[in-house]
Amino acid sequence: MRAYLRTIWESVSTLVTGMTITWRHMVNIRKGNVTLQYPEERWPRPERDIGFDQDDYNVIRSRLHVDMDDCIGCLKCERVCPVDCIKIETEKVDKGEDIPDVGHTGITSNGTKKALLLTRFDIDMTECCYCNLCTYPCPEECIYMTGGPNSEKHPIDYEFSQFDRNDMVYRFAKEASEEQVEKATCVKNGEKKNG
Amino acid sequence: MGLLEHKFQDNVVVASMDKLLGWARSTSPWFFQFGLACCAIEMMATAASRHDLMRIGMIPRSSPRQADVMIVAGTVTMKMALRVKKLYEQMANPKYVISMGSCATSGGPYWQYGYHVLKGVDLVVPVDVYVPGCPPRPEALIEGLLKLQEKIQAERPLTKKTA
Ligand code: SF4
Ligand code: SF4
Ligand code: SF4
Repeated sequence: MRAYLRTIWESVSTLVTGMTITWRHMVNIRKGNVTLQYPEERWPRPERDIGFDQDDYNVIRSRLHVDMDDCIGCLKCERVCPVDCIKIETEKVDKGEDIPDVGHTGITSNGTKKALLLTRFDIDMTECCYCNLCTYPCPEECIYMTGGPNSEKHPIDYEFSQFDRNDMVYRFAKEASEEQVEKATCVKNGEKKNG
Repeated sequence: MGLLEHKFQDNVVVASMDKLLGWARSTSPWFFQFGLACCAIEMMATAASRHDLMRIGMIPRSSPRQADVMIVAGTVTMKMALRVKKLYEQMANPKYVISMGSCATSGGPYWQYGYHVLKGVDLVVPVDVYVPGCPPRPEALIEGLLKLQEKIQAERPLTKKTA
């Protein structure tokens, strides 16, 4: 009889001990919880600089963006890219002149007069290895990772999965038909300038 | 599902069955645990407790027979491409493929001179979602997976295909 009662007591008391621990964890579920509830919260942007010259420049690995109004078509970014995923084509135009037809502005925000019209500026983000190398040589600082120095203008964007691979080729050049470009360029057709 | 797939006229019952199936499929896309290169490290990080794929119903399976989603994480070399195709064929229907990172999507840094790299895994298996990045952040991968779930949810597995 005694053994029987003790068995019952033991099972009840151990159950209570166990349930106390379970209950404590259930009540304190938000404490020490490491999981990031992704779509609602995300990692903060890492606070660090690249260690030379540009104190405020944060190396960030996200989608590239180009401010086409500032780009002078110097091809520095195209040349420096280790995987050649930037493709630029240019046409000569009158220096410093606005061409509203093709959305070309003559003078950049830094005051440089543009001599080239960009007919093509494609970045294939499926080939890019997000190394940031193209952002340093740009004399106009118009190509950058979103969320970098111009984060107010372009918030960070590294989640841009697509159903179609071609949607990940970003075409930054302004839309213009061939006739419009031909009208805008001062070099005659036939000797097409390419860089 | 092979026998019943796309066999029914569209009506209320079939539509709600479709919804139920879509819900069941999209909330438990078990993924096939294999990684090819550096992106696989990020995939492991995604599956670990900080980002926790189990939160969205994804459990890693070691066998293609038990998996619904294949995450192609990393550089697909020519030699591996045959294996990727074989593994894909071994998966049971319905099956989905996520191309994770630049390498799997288009050859990435090796797209031009990589004599040994397949220029995009979509050349051997049909890809559903392309996740950009080199490697993609875990958040980016999860976003791709949520996108895939949306796609699965929108499918009508029972309804007859029109046109
Ligand atoms: S980040 Fe690197 S790989 Fe990508 S476009 Fe710039 S230079 Fe090329
Ligand atoms: S380096 Fe800057 S200015 Fe030169 S082509 Fe590239 S984006 Fe344009
Ligand atoms: S995309 Fe980048 S991180 Fe991913 S496997 Fe290729 S080289 Fe490695």
